[in-house]
Amino acid sequence: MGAFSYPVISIANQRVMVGGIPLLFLYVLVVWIIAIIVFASIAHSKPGKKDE
Amino acid sequence: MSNIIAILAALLYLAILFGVAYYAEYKLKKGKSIINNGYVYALSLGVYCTAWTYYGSVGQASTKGIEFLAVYIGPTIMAALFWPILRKIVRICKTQRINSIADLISIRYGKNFSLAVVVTILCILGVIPYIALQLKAISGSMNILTGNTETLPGLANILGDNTLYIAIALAFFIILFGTRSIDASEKHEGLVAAIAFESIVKLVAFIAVGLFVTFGLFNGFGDIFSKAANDPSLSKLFQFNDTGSYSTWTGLILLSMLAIIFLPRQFHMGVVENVKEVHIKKAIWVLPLYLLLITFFVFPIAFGGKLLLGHTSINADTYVLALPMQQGAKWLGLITFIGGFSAATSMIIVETIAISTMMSNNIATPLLLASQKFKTKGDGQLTNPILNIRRFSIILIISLAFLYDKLVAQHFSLVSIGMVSFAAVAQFAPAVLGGIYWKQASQKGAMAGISIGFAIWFFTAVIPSLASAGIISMNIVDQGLFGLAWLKPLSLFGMQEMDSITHCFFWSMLFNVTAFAVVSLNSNRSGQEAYQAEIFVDIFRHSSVPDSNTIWKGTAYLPDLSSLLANFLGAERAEKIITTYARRHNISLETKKADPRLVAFAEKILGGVIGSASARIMVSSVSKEEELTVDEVLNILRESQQVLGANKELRKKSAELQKATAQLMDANKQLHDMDRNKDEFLYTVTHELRTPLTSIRAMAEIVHDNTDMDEEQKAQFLSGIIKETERLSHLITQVLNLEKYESGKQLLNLVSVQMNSLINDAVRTIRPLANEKGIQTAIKIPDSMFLVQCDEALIMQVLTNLLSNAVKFAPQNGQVSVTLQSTFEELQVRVHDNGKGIEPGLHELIFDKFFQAKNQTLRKPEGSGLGLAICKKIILLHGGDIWVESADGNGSTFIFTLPLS
Repeated sequence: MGAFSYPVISIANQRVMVGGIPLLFLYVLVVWIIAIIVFASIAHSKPGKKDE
Repeated sequence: MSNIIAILAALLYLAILFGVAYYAEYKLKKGKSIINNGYVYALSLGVYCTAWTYYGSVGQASTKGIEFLAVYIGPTIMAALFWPILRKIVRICKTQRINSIADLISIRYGKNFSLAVVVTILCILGVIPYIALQLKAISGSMNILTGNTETLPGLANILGDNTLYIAIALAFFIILFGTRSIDASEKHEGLVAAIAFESIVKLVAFIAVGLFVTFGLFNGFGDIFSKAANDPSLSKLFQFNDTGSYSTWTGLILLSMLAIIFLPRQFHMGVVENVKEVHIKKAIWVLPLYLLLITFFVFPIAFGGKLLLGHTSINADTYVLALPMQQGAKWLGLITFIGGFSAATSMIIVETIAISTMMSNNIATPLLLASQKFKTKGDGQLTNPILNIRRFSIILIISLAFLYDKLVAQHFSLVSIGMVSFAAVAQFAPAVLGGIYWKQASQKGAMAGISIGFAIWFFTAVIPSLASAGIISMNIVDQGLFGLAWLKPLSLFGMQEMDSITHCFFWSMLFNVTAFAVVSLNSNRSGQEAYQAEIFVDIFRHSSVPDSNTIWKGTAYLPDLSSLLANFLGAERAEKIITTYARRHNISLETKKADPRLVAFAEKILGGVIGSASARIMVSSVSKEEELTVDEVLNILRESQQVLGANKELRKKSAELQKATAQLMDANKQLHDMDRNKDEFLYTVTHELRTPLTSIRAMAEIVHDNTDMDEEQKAQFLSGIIKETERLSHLITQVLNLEKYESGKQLLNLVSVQMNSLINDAVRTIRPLANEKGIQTAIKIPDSMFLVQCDEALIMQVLTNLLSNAVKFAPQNGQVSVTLQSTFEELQVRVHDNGKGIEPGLHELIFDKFFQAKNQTLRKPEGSGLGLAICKKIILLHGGDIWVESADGNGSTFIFTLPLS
């Protein structure tokens, strides 16, 4: 949540293009992809005792 | 494209959808469930992406930039919390047979009928515009596809409106696949399969348009963004432009986090249609991935649309379809239309089922059952009236949505209608989340929170919409309620910094949560409420022992209860359910009075069929319930928890005892084995000792008794005595060595040994013995040097033993060879002879102590029978292994390995 919220996201809120893509779009896309990878690895890791 | 083709394509798509649903149900009948799959479950949650996503997100991106993504990032963040939150709700709903969000809230707060009605009304008001939005998207996209620009407003020419026929077909589909069984908590196999299929269709279609625009109309992402960067009206969309944007962004993220769970269609697919809790794990990452993919091309399409069509009057909401159509890609246009059609229909189907279930269970069925005529209906005769109520509810919802589309929705953008619905369902969040995590949350608190939240939502979101549509006067928006400036719907209490939706969300949630918490903390709870709070908050503890602590106090008669269930389920099924439950809980069915657990169970079963509110009315009609005080409930729960705790402790102790018994039995068996082995060993050793002793005694007696024996003969006997004594001494040494290895007293003197030299030495030692029999010895060692950590003396002993055995068993003029091989992990030494070999059944046994002695049938050459047993012990001590490979008549190869590390 933090990476998508102010003030963290304001760091990427620049009128700058990276590889032809606006920085803010690229930032959100990268954070989103990282989040999906993290979720997948956590969801399929071994269940802990707290699951029940 | 002609109108007929568009209509035919839509109908063909619906026919495919029917086919998918039928196929899923056909497979289920054959015993295979298609929806019992984590990916299908995750895809079915893709119903979140409606026509609003498909068309509206492009419209929003082209005017507000990145802000539209908040609606998809919210669910992504919420997906991380699916396991603790969604799974808990799923568990509660499964154990309580809950089939709608209205039931969930109503049952949690003491099965309160009023709450169920309020939640249902809020859902209807909040969601019907959203369904209308989908119809609007269908008619709009059809107009673009067919190039029809002359649409008549309102209900004029209603019979010539394609949307009418699409709505009728959808109502037919929903009735067919959504109301097959009276049990609303039953899974809809065909429906879920169709929705998952639709998720794939809309994703593929959207990506196809995205690729067409990005690489067909432009030269990739860089080209679109660089051209957009040169246009000031577009380049300003690359970033947030003021601090207000951050608050809107955060507000929309929070709002959509709640929407992904509390929108009726999401609740229906995520909770009611969930087959296994473990499928949620898949949804945790597949759903965010799906949202990422479906929004990936939104910016290229939005900016591409602005660059190519910005000068025209084409609405940005329709760029997805307008771009391929304008460029003459008619077939892609048709595919795009089908994608949008599927996004709209999936939402309409699921949302209508969810709302119609609530409508029929919480409003229509209670009214029907209030009539004495229906109460006294017989065996299974209420099934059809209730199914008809649901069917009527479906038609009513679709009709209302159609009317809303034609009369009101035309005035708004797709996004604005969707966000108003999001804000409406967010009002359930405090009552639901508080209800499953906070025992103190009360029915009065929930009612206060939802009511005030609902009122503020209506005032700040619906009133301005109606005013801007011209349905009510703008005065209230401009001057405030009663002319009070601080009561303006769009700047309540003077707050003007936020956009209208964030403003509505902020104030409605602030009042909702505050009222919920304050009233809950200051109100008394009924016994039923306290009980439900306990069950909901600690569901994982209680669901492990279902119905063990059911509470109900009053009088009910078994025949009445049976006949009540029979009215809805049929006599046969009702009797089976009661008998099974009674047998499982040791309840006697001989008495006329029904056991309280049975009454509560019957209510739960009925709740799954007609909703908790109606079920409560029906059970009350055949019983006389007495109010339980909170103290009584708490006592029952305490006792239940104690019994639960005691049971748990007993089960733990029992498991420990079983484990200890098994260990004791194992130890006892080992002792017996050891005792038997010891006896056997002693017997064998004494037998082996007696043989040379007998010879020694016999030869000594001969020498003693024959004093006149010549010296040469005497020397022969004395030599025999010495030889037998040496054999005796060797045997005793070997027994003592073996004992050292077995007891672990033997310590290894590990040094780096060159295996090549050791083998050469061993062969050299044994060569004289081999020469006596004319045996040829061969050494096959690679040129490289093999260093291994081992006890040199002991490995030498093993090599000598194996080589002497090979010489013993090789025939006259035979052959003995030693081979050394190395892998990355170990060294392997193979000692081969071309003797008569060893039969396979003896390959393991020859490594036993005194094996030769025990098997008198084998030819017994010289030796104690302990050599191989000692070899095995030595090799095992080094962490290696030893075995024999031999076929009868083809010689033997003894192989041992030593680890290199």
